[in-house]
Amino acid sequence: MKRVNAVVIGAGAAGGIVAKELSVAGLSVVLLERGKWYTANDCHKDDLRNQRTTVLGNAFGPEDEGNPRVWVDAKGIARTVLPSEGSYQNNAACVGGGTLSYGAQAWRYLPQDFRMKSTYGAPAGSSLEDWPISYNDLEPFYEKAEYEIGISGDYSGTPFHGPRKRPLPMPPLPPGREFSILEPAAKRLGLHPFHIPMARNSVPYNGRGPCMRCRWCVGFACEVDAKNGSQNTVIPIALNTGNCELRTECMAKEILTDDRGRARGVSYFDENGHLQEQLSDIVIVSGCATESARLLLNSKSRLFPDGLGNRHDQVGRNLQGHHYTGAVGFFDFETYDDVGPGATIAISDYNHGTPGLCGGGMLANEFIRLPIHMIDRLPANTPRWGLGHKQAMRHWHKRTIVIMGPTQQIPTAEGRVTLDPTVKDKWGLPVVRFLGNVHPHTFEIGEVQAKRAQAWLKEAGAVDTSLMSYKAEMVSAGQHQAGTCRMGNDPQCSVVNKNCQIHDVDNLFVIDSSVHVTNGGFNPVLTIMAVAYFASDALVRNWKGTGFRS
Amino acid sequence: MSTSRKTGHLTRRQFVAAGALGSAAIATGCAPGKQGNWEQIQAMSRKRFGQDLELLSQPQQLAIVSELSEQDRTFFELVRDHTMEGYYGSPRHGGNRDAVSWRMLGLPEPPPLGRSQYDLGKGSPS
Repeated sequence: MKRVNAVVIGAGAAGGIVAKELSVAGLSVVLLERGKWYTANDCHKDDLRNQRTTVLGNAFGPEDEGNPRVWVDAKGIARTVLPSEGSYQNNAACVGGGTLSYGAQAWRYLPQDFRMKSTYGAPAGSSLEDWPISYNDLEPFYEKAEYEIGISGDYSGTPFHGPRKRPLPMPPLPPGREFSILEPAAKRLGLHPFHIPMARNSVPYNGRGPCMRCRWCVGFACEVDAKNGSQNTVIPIALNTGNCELRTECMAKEILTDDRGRARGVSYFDENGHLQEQLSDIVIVSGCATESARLLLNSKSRLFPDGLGNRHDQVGRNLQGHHYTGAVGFFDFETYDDVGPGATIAISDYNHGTPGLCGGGMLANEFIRLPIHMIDRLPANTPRWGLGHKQAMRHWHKRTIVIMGPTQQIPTAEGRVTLDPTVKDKWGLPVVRFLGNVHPHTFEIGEVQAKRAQAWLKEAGAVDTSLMSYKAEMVSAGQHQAGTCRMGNDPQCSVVNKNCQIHDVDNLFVIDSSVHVTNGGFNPVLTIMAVAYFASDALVRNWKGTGFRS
Repeated sequence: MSTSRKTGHLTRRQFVAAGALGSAAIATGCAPGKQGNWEQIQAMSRKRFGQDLELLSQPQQLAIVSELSEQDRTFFELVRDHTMEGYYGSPRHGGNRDAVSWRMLGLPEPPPLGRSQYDLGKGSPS
């Protein structure tokens, strides 16, 4: 197999961007993806089989068969879980990764989100830290992501976001009914509502048409290809350069190293299950926080007995997602207009600045709900089954609004990805074993956020509300998973430097949400993309034609 | 095997029953591999009322479901969840025939269909 300049492992939000940036710069690239390449025709509008409601499995991978994980509960009992179960903490396994089927909220983090420890101090028991880069360092790359991927929305209503040079490339979609109910209520409360930034065409952009506003949005491939992910933006550009080869259904086994401790390529199982070796000058791991950590830990050798980048036992630590809380409001008039994507309005008034709370999070109305999502979101005392439940569904389905948001998590060193000592996947590779739980202060913040959502709904006229607040029983990851290969200046307590380069292997990079030091109070994808552009930019600048010089 | 397949189209009364009690038939319709549990329900029904669940009157069906909920809470919750999923889920799985639950909720049926660039050669949208 021909040696190439770069192997990128994982064709998701970050891997697609890295492959594009390197191949446009003239490097030869092999992009490995364990899943398949789906298109708009794979939408299927199946309420029971998509990437959010997985009663009949994940639509976009991984399959239940042969892909277990293990999590250890508070009592120390290890449970083997399937990809369609919540505690698997799945994102996706396909070309585009999560960006094929996401809701596509495309947020910039706030300047404070990169300086959490400086802003608040680290709560006891936490591993809260500052990023080694700032909002200003990322700003040009946020903008690049917004224009190359294609983001619609309007930040002009909020004073809380950091400075920016250009507006978003597309206006927001016209407001839905929930927007028109919630916006004046927020303003009456003195809040600053605005249009959510979305990786979704509101007007024709990048050669594709706009959103047709159906209700099968979050969890689905977009039927009209109006949702923008790496699979329909940067990856096609990478392939069109002629420098990038995408190999699907290829599962990385381990990163190969030479006797001087440098990466020399990747061994992987191809679509027929045959073991292959792809040699390369540099290796980039972009498998998302859980699987990237697993691959590094599975890459053991004489020089790296505990896995790559793991000399100081840092790989897999600080796993974090988001702690979602909010409230359901019940109204005596119709609030539901069956117009997708549903989520339209947000506030970032509560991300920072509450005395006693270490951060907070954005609050927004929920994506359009499928009927199946309503069955357990009815008013308290509704019968759980039978005629009473059915009547409640009929009465409330069009008379509810859900406001919720991602509370920024306080990371801990104990919430982590490790390898299970016994359970293997269908390729015979040790699987992920989750340890730890969410830091308790995160729950306190989440509870306050839920009450704020409730207050907004009441102001909007809700006649009844119920809180969606809970304490998780395991570490949080899921679609927003991040943190397992922390970016930092100190090799003792981080895995990569600010350019996403493994501290002690100069031609090995981790470029994905794994490097996030903290995960903001927002959906993380645009930051994943901005970091990918930032790191690719450094990589290309340091590329010397035949090899990488740091 | 789902009830709808066994008896042809469900009658209106059976639809009502499906919504009112959560027809366990729908549970099997969307949960392949649960036939053993379905047989358990049918055995309960035959023992108490002498015939299969879908042939019982609505009060009789409700009595069976109540009995089930008391006997085996874990299994009842599974049936309840699968029933809801079948009834409110995509019609293609058989538990929401003719999108009856979506029409009950006042959702447009058929839903809006879009065409991607991949469909443009295929003529008018279905």
